[in-house]
Amino acid sequence: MRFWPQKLVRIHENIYEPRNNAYYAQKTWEYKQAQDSNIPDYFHQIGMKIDRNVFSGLYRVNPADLHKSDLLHNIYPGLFKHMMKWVVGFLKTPKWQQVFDNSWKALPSYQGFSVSKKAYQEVTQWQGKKMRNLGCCISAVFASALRNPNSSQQVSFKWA
Amino acid sequence: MVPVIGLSDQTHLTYFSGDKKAWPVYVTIGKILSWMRNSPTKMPILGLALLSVPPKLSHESVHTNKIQRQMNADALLAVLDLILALLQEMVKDSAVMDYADRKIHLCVPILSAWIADHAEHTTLHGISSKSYPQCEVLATEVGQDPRKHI
Repeated sequence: MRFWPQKLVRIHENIYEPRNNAYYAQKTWEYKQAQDSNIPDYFHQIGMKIDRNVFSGLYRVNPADLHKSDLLHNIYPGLFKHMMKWVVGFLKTPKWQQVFDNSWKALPSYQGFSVSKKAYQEVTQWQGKKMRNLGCCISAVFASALRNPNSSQQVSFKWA
Repeated sequence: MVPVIGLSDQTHLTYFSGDKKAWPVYVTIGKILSWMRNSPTKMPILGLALLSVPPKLSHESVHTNKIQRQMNADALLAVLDLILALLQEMVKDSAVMDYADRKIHLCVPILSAWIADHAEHTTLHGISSKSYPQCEVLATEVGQDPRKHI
């Protein structure tokens, strides 16, 4: 788990060209000298604005290599929301859905942990904090909803 | 080497009385244990600056809007250059610092991470909102299977 982001980056670098800020600085200098109209088109194509990077002039810093962690948007509304789609899809059986919602609503709140009193699908807008709280307890709620399946429900497990 | 971590996030302060915003910049170092960094009483994260939040558009014409955007970008660049200038001097010359082990070390503090959301990174890296700061992926290819690019 600890090493997979580095692997992802390595795969990424092989597929797409990493941003080369030294080259961009040279292109910007050429544009300021000669006002070549092709250079703004080039920057527009790669999604950059000319001479707007605040990290480009820093000594021993490559702006593309700066760690850019964004837990809220990558993990909670990004990855976790997709995972909940699978969970909700798996709980299509009305009995399981009901048990899941009941277990979810029955969770007591304590310091630093509060869950919504609504069912998962009734909540229209998820805040990052509530999504994080859901992540803390989702596996326990999911396990309690799926306990003791009968013979017809076991088919879903075999498909999964 | 001392890894320096910067943090920034633009925050809404008021909604109905002028939509005021604050743009704080914080700083910490990477050689702090996570339990200590998450403890507010230890004060491991220090406030470095409150950036100016100028109006985005001038509401006069397209040309003045363009000038306003350029002025905002130049102001941001100048302010962050000023903030990071001291750090740059220390990177070039290195600095003698007291360490937690009660010894004196020769340290080179280097900016190694900037914790912010994507909207913040697009502003600081000067890229469009659909671009990625790390590589030249096109806006049309974001979110698609990267193997199709090969």
